[in-house]
Amino acid sequence: MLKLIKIEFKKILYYKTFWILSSLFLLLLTLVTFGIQGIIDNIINDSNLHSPIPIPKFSIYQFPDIWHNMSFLAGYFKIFLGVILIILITNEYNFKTIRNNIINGLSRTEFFFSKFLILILLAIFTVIVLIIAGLILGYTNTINFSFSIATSQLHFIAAFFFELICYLSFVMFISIFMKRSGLAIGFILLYSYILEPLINYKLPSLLQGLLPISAFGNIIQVPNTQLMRVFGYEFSKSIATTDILIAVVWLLLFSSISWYKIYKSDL
Amino acid sequence: MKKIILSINNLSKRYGKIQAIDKISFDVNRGQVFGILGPNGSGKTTTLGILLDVLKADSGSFSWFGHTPHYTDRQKIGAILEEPLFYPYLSAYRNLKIIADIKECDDEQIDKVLKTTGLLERKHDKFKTYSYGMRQRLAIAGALLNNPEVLILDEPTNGLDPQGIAKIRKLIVEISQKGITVILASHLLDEVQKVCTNVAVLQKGKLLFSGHVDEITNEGVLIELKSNNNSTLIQILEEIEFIKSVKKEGEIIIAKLTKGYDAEDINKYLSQQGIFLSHLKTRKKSLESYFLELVTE
Repeated sequence: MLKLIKIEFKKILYYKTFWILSSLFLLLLTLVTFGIQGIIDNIINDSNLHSPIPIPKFSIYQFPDIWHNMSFLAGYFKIFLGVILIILITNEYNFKTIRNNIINGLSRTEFFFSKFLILILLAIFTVIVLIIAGLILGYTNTINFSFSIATSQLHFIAAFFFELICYLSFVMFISIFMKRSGLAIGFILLYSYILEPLINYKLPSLLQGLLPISAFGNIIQVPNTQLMRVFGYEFSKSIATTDILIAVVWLLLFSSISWYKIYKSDL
Repeated sequence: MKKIILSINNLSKRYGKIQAIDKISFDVNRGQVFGILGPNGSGKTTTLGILLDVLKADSGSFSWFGHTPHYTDRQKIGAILEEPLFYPYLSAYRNLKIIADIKECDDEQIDKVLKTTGLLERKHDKFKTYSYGMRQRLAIAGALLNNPEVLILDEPTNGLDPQGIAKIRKLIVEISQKGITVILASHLLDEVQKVCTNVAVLQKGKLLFSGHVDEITNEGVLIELKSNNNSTLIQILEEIEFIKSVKKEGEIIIAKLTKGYDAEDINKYLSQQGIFLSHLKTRKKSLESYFLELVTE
């Protein structure tokens, strides 16, 4: 395991594209988490100009709700993380360095795990950024701060980490089959934003949400903010076991097929 | 130490309609410089690809070092397959560091192999800035890491200038003198003849011949003869049972002998018949003519 980390680390340490994309993702995540309150405030101000009933202002940065809000929000940006993974995987096919690695004595299973490791590291990186942003924003925006309140909803962060692992396993699966970065990015965009919504639309309501992108999105439901209560919506405040189970099935499927593909095919 | 390093047994692989290799079997022993000879598309790279686990065979089997192949075997095999494969954005040194990590060998060896291949001065330059010849040499440097027991070279002199070719051939000879087994795939007959002790000849995925290079050159030795009376000489030669064929090339008569006979036998026979020669010479048949014979048959 340590050997694989060492090898992967050497591949990305001097890879400019990786660092540029990662920095951009970091910047994006920071801008979004720190800027979202301002955007919401603006929207409320604008609509209050025309609305007969004023919408109350609310903060999405308060502990412990912030963990749910932040992880829900960050979920929209996971495609950018996906692009980084796509490039790191398809590079190996593009440069044919996957052959180089195998010829020099890496097993095919080790190669698979080295990419799975990258996937986990990307997810850990994102979650750490989110926790730091959450702590800063939560601490500065919560009036009655206490440690127990601050950490009480942290399971949303764990759920977000799991969602990222599942999503990235889907990205890895597509990358391994497509082998070309442009093709993989194109397919993932097409599938996530057009194909799957279309299929979902045709499916009976019982089966909706079973397909991977919806299933991963369902893990963290829309947060229950004061705004939602104004409109009379009441969303789930917890993580449903069935949602986790559906995602686990996809995760196992995507990773095992990816492994099998690397294990069995001509490289 | 086991004598047989590599044993291939009925290996086959098909790409769609094309039978890339068809039931190939041969053994490579420790210390041999083994040539795999064949024209382009004869299945050389496919065979090596399977042996290195980047391709999967349809049927058949092979063993490295006397046991069923395990990925750690490849840490003891240095190989280049087709083109040099490296991370273009990394320097030569950092590319070799990755290989050193995979092979689990000391980083100290990197400078040594870079020196052997004459790349030490350019070691911090990115791979993408390298010329084709340098890339090829870097690939050989990578293959030399971890003191391999076997070196597999697929068309190692492809795309090199005459100087580069000479350097690489010298390197191969030096490597084999250290007792490292070398497996060399080439479409250049001359190359195989110059450096190899053993050879397997492939054509359209089929194994045409496998054996010692000398076996090929000894196969049906050609003898040049001349006497004052060539027409009588031809008559007598045609009666000798160990002579396969006789033909005239200007003033010189060429006799093809059956395996196991040489110029001495013919000389002895003719002198007993009272015929004395003004010219007698063994013409060593080049691997090239043998190879051309094999592939045209």
